[in-house]
Formats: sequence, structure tokens, C-alpha cells
Amino acid sequence: MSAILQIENVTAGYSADIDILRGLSLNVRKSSVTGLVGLNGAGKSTVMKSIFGFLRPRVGRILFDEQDITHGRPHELASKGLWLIPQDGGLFDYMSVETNLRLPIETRRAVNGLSRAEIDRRVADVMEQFPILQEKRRQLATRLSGGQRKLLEFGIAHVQRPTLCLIDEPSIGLAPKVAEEVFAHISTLAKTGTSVLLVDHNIRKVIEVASYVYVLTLGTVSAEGESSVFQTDLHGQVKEWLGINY
Amino acid sequence: MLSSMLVSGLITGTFYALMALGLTMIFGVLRIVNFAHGEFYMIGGFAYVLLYHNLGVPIAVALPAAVLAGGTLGWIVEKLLIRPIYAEFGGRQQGRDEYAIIVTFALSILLIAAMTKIVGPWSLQGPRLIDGPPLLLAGVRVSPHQIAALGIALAFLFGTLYLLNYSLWGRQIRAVAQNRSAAAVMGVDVGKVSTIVFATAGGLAALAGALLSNMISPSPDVGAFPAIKSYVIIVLGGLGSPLGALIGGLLLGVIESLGAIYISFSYRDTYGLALLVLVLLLRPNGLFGETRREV
Amino acid sequence: MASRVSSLRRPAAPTSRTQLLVALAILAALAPLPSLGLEIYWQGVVITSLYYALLASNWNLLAGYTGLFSLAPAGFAMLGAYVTALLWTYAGVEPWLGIPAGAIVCAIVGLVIGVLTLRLSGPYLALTTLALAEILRVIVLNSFDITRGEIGLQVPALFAHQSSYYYMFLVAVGGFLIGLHWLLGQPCGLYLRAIRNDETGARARGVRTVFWKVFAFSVSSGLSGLAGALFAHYVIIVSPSIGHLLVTGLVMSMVVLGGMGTLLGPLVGALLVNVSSEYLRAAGDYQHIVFPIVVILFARFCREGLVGRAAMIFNARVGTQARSGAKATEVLASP
Ligand SMILES: Nc1ncnc2c1ncn2[C@@H]1O[C@H](COP(=O)(O)OP(=O)(O)OP(=O)(O)O)[C@@H](O)[C@H]1O
Ligand SMILES: [Mg+2]
Repeated sequence: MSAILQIENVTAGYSADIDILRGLSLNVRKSSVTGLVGLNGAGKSTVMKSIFGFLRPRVGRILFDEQDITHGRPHELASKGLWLIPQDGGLFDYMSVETNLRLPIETRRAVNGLSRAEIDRRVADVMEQFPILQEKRRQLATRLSGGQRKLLEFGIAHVQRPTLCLIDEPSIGLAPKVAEEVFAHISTLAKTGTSVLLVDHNIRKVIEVASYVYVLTLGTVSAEGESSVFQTDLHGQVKEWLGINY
Repeated sequence: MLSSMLVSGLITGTFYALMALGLTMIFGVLRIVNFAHGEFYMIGGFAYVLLYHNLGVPIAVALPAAVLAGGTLGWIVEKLLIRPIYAEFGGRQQGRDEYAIIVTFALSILLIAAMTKIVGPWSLQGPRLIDGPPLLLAGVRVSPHQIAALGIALAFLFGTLYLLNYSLWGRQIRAVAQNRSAAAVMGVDVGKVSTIVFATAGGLAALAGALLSNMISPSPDVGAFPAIKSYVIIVLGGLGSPLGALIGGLLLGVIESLGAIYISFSYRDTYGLALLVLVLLLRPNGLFGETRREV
Repeated sequence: MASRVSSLRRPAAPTSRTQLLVALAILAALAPLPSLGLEIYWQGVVITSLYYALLASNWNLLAGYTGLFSLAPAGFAMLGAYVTALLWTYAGVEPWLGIPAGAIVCAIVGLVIGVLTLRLSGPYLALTTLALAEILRVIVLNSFDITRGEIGLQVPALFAHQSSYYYMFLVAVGGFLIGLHWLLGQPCGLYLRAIRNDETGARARGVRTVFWKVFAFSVSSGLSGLAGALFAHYVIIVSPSIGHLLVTGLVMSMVVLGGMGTLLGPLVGALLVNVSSEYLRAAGDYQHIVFPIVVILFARFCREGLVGRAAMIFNARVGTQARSGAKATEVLASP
């Protein structure tokens, strides 16, 4: 299966003398979910930031659809079809739910040339898919609960129809039922043609929705494989990947 | 008497608001206070006066040129001095505040001193926009020039507020103010927005300086008080709130003009400080502070 | 609370007294100059430099050690000067009472401003002190009947000879630096530096951050007032120019040039800036153009200042590691 995103031997960090990612290589497959798991502080969020241009890799390169985006800046990547649902705070708190849904796509309209009718249609679609957003469309995002916020972030991602969506810890702090819903939306994204790179601490769920899984340890890939391989002996595997080094 | 004081207070307040609006936009987007804001005002005043008097440029050209001068200065300052802090400090607010205060305050002194070197320490009166006999407006004698200046100020003030609230451009600026990284993810070039905001703020302050240059003749240090008043106003209105800047500006104008008759005329510049103390005491987040995010 | 801050109560990290010793050595080297025949004019320049060194060290206590930015060091100096001048003019109060009164008034004003602004997070202190400094000046200028506006008030001299002032300011600066060094070694000094480095973290560990910030600001305001009052009785005429924002600009350049958060920096900066100001003034009043440029360049490219940079080089020689610039400054930020 061909890869939509290729990370090749990337080294990156926040200050000059400390590398957080150390020679990291991984691929994200087209139209499916790729999982990335690891302990707290392993560098999962740092991978996301490096892909999206918030952090410049010191070594290595990143290819998106065979195009080099290693030194791309965040706003340029957005128009190429990348999207990010960050670990926390992906919303504009003092704008209404509806503005949160519309502003990103309107911003990209200028670059990607979508028609207004198309935008209206996508927003209406999402409102239908997420009844809670329809109900609260005039409220400020800051008035939403944690779960509603996450759903809004997924709604926004759906509106974009991105080629590749990076999702960082979507289930953190959510009630199990809402978390289920969130993972269902991730599967939907993949089914509608979006490739997903998913980071989460709920390893069982990651393996369930992902087709391929990477384990990140101290900034490098320490294990990888088809998720079907892991499903058989999850407990033992997890122990081996994560227990061994600590 | 009261109504005429109200009117004259509102007129002054409009010009205050014009300056404060830019300052509060800068704070909203960059989370820093520009301590050289008064010098944007000063540059605008001098550009207008000097172009007209020394180069014989007509007013219709000198006024836009003054706005352009302030905008260009804002542009350069942001690119040269403010931009680097985002690369260097990342998320650390402390280091960024430190740098921003030191650099903008030093810039303020530099601009005052440089202007003194160039044109001397004197003040130069600016030309009227239009001539004509004074009119009566709600019992206040105002010259056609004042009305024209007020009209232009109002147009720019409400034009900017309108764009901020209803245009895509303005909503993107607000998006950057509310969530820098989310704005970048959706495709907004946050660096460019910061530069544009600084340039806009510079242009608005310069416009105020040019429009007032007939009533308050520009001298190199003329910006100090307009700047201090805008600081009071943005705290009063809520740091980063454009609407707060408008209401705060008008309020300060009215309070000063009431204080000028009922308390003392020569101390009118000090009422702002009293107001500032009251705000800090009673409503530290400002009138529109509830929309302020925690940093 | 005591148990929660116990980790902060450890003795201050082992730091060099070198800076204090160098500072005292500079002061000691300056001491014999009047008797060696330093001209009266240059004695005056040194006296002003030492006055500035007091203001600069004071500002450094706030900006360099606590992370607070006041734009009123000159404003408080002016306030202190006017308190003693007004007391003398209208109540015949002698300087030895008027000078401490000036310091106390400034400390109280600083306390009020501190309580108002330092509870809040944000740039409120800088905004308020700037407004205060300029508005105090307007009040003084406009209250002509009381303050004689720009002409100023006459106050009595403390000494008959200029060299006496020279020694007084030498002692004042030396005393201040020794006191600051001592203070920074106390738990309180540790709290201040903790606040500068990470205020939220400090609060989470039980440091009463608002209390200590207000304390630092009030003390520093009082000491600026004291310096201003002393200076008033040296120049004999108290005028609003003492409190001009340009003076604040000079004070800032001294600290940034010398090194923020270093004990020695402000003294070195004050001497360098004030002495070279003499030449720049003679060359045509270029000091207010040159120093802001220096400040901007240092803020951009040499945040640790001259003393900070020198200490980095020194430490590297001695073998102490100073890996990244930021780390080195933190190390130097200790007394
Ligand atoms: N802005 C930053 N500046 C400096 N260091 C950072 C920054 N963000 C993260 N780090 C460091 O980088 C390392 C990796 O962090 P990262 O956030 O990528 O971990 P993570 O795998 O996402 O962990 P978690 O599961 O807790 O979200 C950590 O050691 C962290 O301390
Ligand atoms: Mg993370």
C-alpha cells in the first residue's frame, strides 16, 4: 500500500542541545488509520508538530504525497490538504460554534477555490452528523463541555475533507461513551478517504481502528507492525514494547 | 454647558479611540504592549506638517502620506524588532514581555531623539483640512476643520471595527488573537497577520497625529500623552478588546472634559490616572474583560 | 506553608562573590581620585554616575531578579526629591528628616501601585508606572504656585565640599550592593528569582508570589526615592527634569548594557553610559540616540549584557560549563 506521508530519519528538538526525536522514520498509509503509541514524553506530540511545520527538523525529511514539506510553514500545509486536531485547544473560544466550523474552510477557500454552495453543503452535512453542534451553533465555543469541544473539533476536520488528518490524543479526558463516538468518527474519516495519523493512550482502541501501528520510545520507533498482528496478544506486546525500557 | 462638554469630550474621545484601537489590536494578536505607540502618532503629525509646509504637498496627499508613514514604520518595526521574539521565546511569556518592553520603550526614546535632531525640539502647527467660519454643533463652536477631522477619524474607526468583525480578514485577525496555532493550522499566515496589525496600528496612530496637528502642534515628544491615554483606555476597555478601546476612548474623553470644567482645567491630563486606578481596583479585567482569555 | 517551601529554603546555590568584590574594588579605586586631583567637573560626573548606579541597581532588583518592569525609576526619584524639597520649603524640615521621608512616601506609593497591579498577570505594572511617572511630572509642572514649575525648588546643601558628596554616594552604592547581595542570599532572594523564572511554578510550590512582588516593588520604589532625595540635596535645585522619561531610558540602558540580573552590571553600565554621555553630549546631544540603539542591539544579540558575557567567558575558562546562552544567564543571575 502506498504512503501518503513519509517521515525519513527525522531529528528534531525544542532547544539547540536536546533532541526529542532521534532519527525517526515512519509512513502513513493512504486512506487508512496509522496508529502511534508511546509513553508520556516519548515525543508523540512532537512528531505532530514537526509534520505540521511548528518545529523544524534538524535532520531528515518529510514527504507528503511525494512532495518535500520538511521546511513548509504551517499555513502553507493547511492549503495542501493537511489538518491537525491538537492535543488541547484547537478552537477559537470566543467565536460561535458555527464560526468555528466556517472560518477555516472560508480561509482556505481563497487558496483552494471552493464554491460558497459547496461550503454551505459541507457545513450542513456536519451539522446533521453532529446534532449537538446544530443545537449549540450560536453559542461561544468556550461554553461547550470538554466532550462537545472534541466533537466540534472533529466536525471542523470533517468540513475540511483533508487528505491527511493528524489527531493527537483525542480521547484524553473524555467519558468512555464520548470516546467511543470519537473513535467512530476517526473510522468514518478514514472511510471517506482521509488518511489519519492517530496518537492515543487507549492502546486497545488504537489497535482496533488502525491498520498499522508504530511504538515510539524516546524519540525513535521501537516496534511496528500490522495491527492484526498485535491484536492477538495485546497484553504481552504492550508489556514488551513499553515495559522493556523502563 | 453640560451637553457642550459632552460633545467636546466625545470628539476628543474619538481621537483617543483611534489610537487605542491599534494598541489593543497589537496586544490582542501579539500579547505585548507597544510602548512606542505615541511615536507613531508623532511621526504621523510631523509627516503631515512637514510634507505640507516644507515640500508644498497638497493636503489631500499629505494626509494619506502621513498614514502611510505610520503604517510603514509599524511594518518595519514589526519585521525588524518584534518578529524575532516569536522565533526565540516560543511559548515563554516572561522572556517575551521583557524583550518587548525594553525594545519598544528604547525605540520610543530613539524616535523622539532622532526627530529632535532632524526637526529641532519645537512644535509645528499643521494646516487645516478645510477653512471656513465656525459652526454650532449642540452648542459647541466647531470649525469645519474639526468636523472634517472628526469625520475622517470616525470613518477609519468604524471602518476598522467593521472589517475586524465582518470581513474574513478581520475574523482571521481575531482568530490569531484567540488561538495562534489553530489559526496557523487553518491556513492563516500568523506572521503576516502580526505585521499587518502592527502596520494598521501605526497607520491609525499616525492618522490621529495628523488630524490633530492643527489643534495640538506636533513636537518630538508630543506622543507621550496620547500614548499614556491609550494605555489607560486599553486597560479600561479590557486588553485586546477592540470594542473596549472604542468605548474606553469615548469615556475617557468625556471624563476629561467634565473634569476640566468641574474640577480643574490644568489637571485634565491627570484624570486618566485616577480612572486607571479605579479600574484596577474595581474591574481589573476592564469593561469588556470577560472576553479576555487567560494567557 | 513552611514545609511546602522547604525545598526552596536550601542555601542559595553556590555562587561567586566575585561580582560583589569586583564592584567594591571599582568603588575603592574611585575613592582616592578627588584627593589625587580629579577636577571638580569630573567629580560631578562620577557623582551623577553613582546616583544612576543606585537607580539602575534598583531597577535591576525588579527587572533582573524579580522580572517586574517599572517605567518609573526616574518618576520615583523625582517624587522623593520633591518630598524633601516641599517639606523644607513649607515646613522647614531639615534634610536629615526630609530624605527618609521621601523614601517612605515613595515606598508607600510603590506599595499602593504594587497591590493594585501585581495581583494581575499582564503588563499592568509597566502601563501604570509609565502613566504615574508622566502624570506626576504634569502635576508638578502645573502646580506652579506650590512647586514653581519648571524653575524648581531650592533646597539646602548637605556638605560644603563636593568631595563629601562624592564619598557619600560611594558609600551609598557600596552599601546598596552589599545589602542586595545579602538579600539575594536570603530565602526572600530565592523567592524573587523563582518568581522571575517561573511564576506559576513558584506559586504552585507555596511561594506567596504577590506578596513578594509587592514587597520588591515597594522596597525598590522607596530606595529610588531615597536616591532621588539624596541627589536633590546635591544638585540643590529640584526640578521636574529629574523624573523625565529620558532618565528612565538611560537607567534602562545602563542595566541592559551592564547585564540584567547581575550584581555588577548596573554599576558598570552606569559608569560607562554616564561617562560616555558626557562626550556624546559635547558632540551634539547624541546620547539619547546612541543608547537606545545600544539597548535594542543588546536585547537582540547579547541579552546577558557585558558583565554577563564576561562572566560566561570567565566561567568557561575556569571550567564551569556554560553550555547554552540561556543557561549561562540563569547561572549568573545568582548573586
Ligand atoms: N514546547 C516545548 N519546549 C521544550 N520542550 C518540550 C516542549 N514540548 C514538549 N517538550 C518536551 O519534549 C518531550 C516530548 O514531548 P511530547 O509532548 O512530544 O510528548 P508526548 O509523547 O506527546 O507525551 P504525552 O503523552 O504526555 O502527550 C518531553 O520531554 C517534553 O518535556
Ligand atoms: Mg502529547
